[in-house]
Amino acid sequence: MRPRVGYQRFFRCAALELALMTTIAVISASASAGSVKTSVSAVVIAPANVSDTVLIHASSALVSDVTANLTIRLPGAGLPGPDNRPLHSASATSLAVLSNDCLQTIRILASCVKRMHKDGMLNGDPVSNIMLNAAVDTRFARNDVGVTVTYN
Amino acid sequence: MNSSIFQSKIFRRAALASIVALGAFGASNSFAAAKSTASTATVIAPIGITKTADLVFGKFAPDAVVVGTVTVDTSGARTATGGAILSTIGSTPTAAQFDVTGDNNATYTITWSGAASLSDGAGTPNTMVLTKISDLTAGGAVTGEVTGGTLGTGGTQSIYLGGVLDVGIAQAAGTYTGDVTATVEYN
Repeated sequence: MRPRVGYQRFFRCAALELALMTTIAVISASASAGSVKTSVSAVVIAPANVSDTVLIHASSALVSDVTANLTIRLPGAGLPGPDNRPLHSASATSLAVLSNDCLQTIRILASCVKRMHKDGMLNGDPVSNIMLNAAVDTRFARNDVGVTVTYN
Repeated sequence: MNSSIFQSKIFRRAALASIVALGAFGASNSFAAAKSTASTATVIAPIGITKTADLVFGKFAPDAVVVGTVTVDTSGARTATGGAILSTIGSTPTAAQFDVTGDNNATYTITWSGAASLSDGAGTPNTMVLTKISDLTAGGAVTGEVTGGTLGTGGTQSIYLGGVLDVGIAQAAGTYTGDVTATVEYN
């Protein structure tokens, strides 16, 4: 039985030394390096849909602004929310509605002025009564006004 | 019996070694003059890194027919290309910021690891490829990754992380997340 005592001491000492060296190595490693994690996030939402296009017909009376109605659907619209109410994203979204691409379709000179017609929070599904204006400075003009809907 | 022999041999050897060592110690004290040598040690501050802001791309919408990208530069400014449409409602994009501390003027390496794409965590996950952008200033870098730095005289330096997300055609709506790890190590 006795010889084991010597071996046991030897192994105990070896284990102790190994543990000490490991501790030193760990302390050394933690002192010379460090790391940290950051989270990365993104939220994808459904795009806004323009459910109708706007066609503005000029007339002899068109010497100032002409209005037309635009109806759009908001991101997330169509999906039922709690109690069948529109989702938050569908009930309040900030969009800018711009008229653009004012095309002169007859030879009479007519100029369209691009205007921002709605900019801010929109509510409802779909959203209607977004009135667009086309400013034309001459008579006998007929203009198709394109519309761009963008997120704010 | 053999064991006792073994132990006694060890004991004898140890005793002999002790005597020799003591003799040598005594001899040195007897004959040699003392001579001193300067021993110096420099303890440097351990390097550390903390996160003070996450990388947030915020809200955006995909296009039905055109792919796009959303970029958050190292200043936190956001831009979009292609079919991606940015939203500002409830959406404050930020660049991630890491603060490194350590020994004055020390140089160190930076290693980036972690997500190469963001996932929405769905059963069959939808993903967007993430390209990292990093710099040692919040100067608005839109490309490149920094791989090393030098701590200032105060022993500090900040690292800024932005990124580019590839937005697919009709990318599925949802919240996409991922983790990026920055590791710094003294040179």
